[in-house]
Amino acid sequence: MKWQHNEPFFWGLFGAGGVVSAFVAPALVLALGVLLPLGMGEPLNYERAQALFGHPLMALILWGVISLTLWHCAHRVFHGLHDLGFHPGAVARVFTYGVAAVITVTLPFALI
Amino acid sequence: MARQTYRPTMPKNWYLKNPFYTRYMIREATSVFVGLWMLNLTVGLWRLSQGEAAWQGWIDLQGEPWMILFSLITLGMAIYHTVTWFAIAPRAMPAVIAGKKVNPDLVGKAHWAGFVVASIVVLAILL
Amino acid sequence: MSDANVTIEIQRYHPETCPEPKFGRFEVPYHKEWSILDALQYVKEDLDGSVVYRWSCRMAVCGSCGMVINGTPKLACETFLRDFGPGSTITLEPLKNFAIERDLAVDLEDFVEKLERVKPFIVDAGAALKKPKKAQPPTTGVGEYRQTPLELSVFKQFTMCINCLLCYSACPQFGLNPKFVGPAALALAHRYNADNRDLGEEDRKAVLNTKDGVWSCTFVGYCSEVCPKHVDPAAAIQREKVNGMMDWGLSKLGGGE
Repeated sequence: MKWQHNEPFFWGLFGAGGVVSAFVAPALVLALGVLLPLGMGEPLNYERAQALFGHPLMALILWGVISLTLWHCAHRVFHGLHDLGFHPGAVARVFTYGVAAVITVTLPFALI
Repeated sequence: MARQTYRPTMPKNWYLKNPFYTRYMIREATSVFVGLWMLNLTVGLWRLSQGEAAWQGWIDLQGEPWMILFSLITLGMAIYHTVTWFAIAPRAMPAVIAGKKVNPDLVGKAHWAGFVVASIVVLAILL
Repeated sequence: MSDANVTIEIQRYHPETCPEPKFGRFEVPYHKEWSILDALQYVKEDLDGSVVYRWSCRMAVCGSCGMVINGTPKLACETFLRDFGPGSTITLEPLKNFAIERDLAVDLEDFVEKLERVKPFIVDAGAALKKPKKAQPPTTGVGEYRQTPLELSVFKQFTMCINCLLCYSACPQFGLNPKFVGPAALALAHRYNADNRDLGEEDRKAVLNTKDGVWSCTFVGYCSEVCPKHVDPAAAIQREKVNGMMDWGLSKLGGGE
């Protein structure tokens, strides 16, 4: 059978991002978005942030978590547009999957 | 004789007509918040690569009340995603893995155990 | 005997006499042991013989009496007046997302055509006897094909489908895209794909792997919620998506067809 589309590719990334974000997003948002800004925990100053996020393993994990979560998000938004009665085409693809792809490719440059 | 049928049209706001559909749409919408928050984190990592002043600017931004509010909403959405994802994942798994029947209840519990461990690890590293 | 009534509101449609759907109200005596189907029989025999609905077995096996009862897709034969209580108003509508033939009867032709396309039967059982898909102990006797309880457990729940189409009524993706093959047909495709006596998976891929196949599903999950036989079509579809992803990956590696 010849495949006429590449939906399994996007679905696979959606699934991977769904798993990753289900496990780590709540704690990540709680720590970086709520507790640290409210002054709890060790302040994340420049030196600490560099040591923490500059570690190669940490950078790899962050790249994986952020990219996959964005692919997950892109897939849901793309299909959500269909649910809302729009019929998403190439433009919607660029603004959903395209953003995820751009971040996936460019994020390593910020992390290195 | 040709049959004459009536084809009802689906209302545009079908997802408001049934609480089950509304919860589905909220589930899908969680990804918008989590996605935007991840873009925010991406900006942070990019600022980190630009030096101390840039990073401190991003850190200060995270402390703005509206930003904390956004993070709190995202936190709620992220938990909603976890709850709904773990409810579905055990059902979507193959029925038999490596010659053993998969027990969906057990798989669901294992997911939650993994979630607790992952959350402790993330919080321990970041705080 | 009972002196209380329930009000049954039935969505009426008749191409000649009632071309725009509207509700007809009927007062039906309340009996706690009456099902909605019993109430409909009372309406048809004693109040208005022109009311059209499908039914057969009265015991949730034939799958004929699916309808939308107070907004929820249900079988009329296993929904009871006591679920609503005396004095209540119960609205009956035809299954959503289908073309309506008359009153509560919908056009099933589209579904039957989809069901045929997924080949809901064991393909080439004779060949399966000679050439099992997987290595297994030799079978004894002619025409006998042993299946272990584990092998049966992989697909048994998906054999329970009675084609009542409550899942299609529950599925917004089918409502949005009528070409979507839909929950029951896809769950039955999975039922046969997952059966180790079957050799039809390649044939079914041509339907499952299209955009209108499993890839139109976004796991709303309401199909599994309303299913009177706990088939869980949403789960079946996800498993076929996993299979489809493997197949897609292999095809890109040049390993598939």
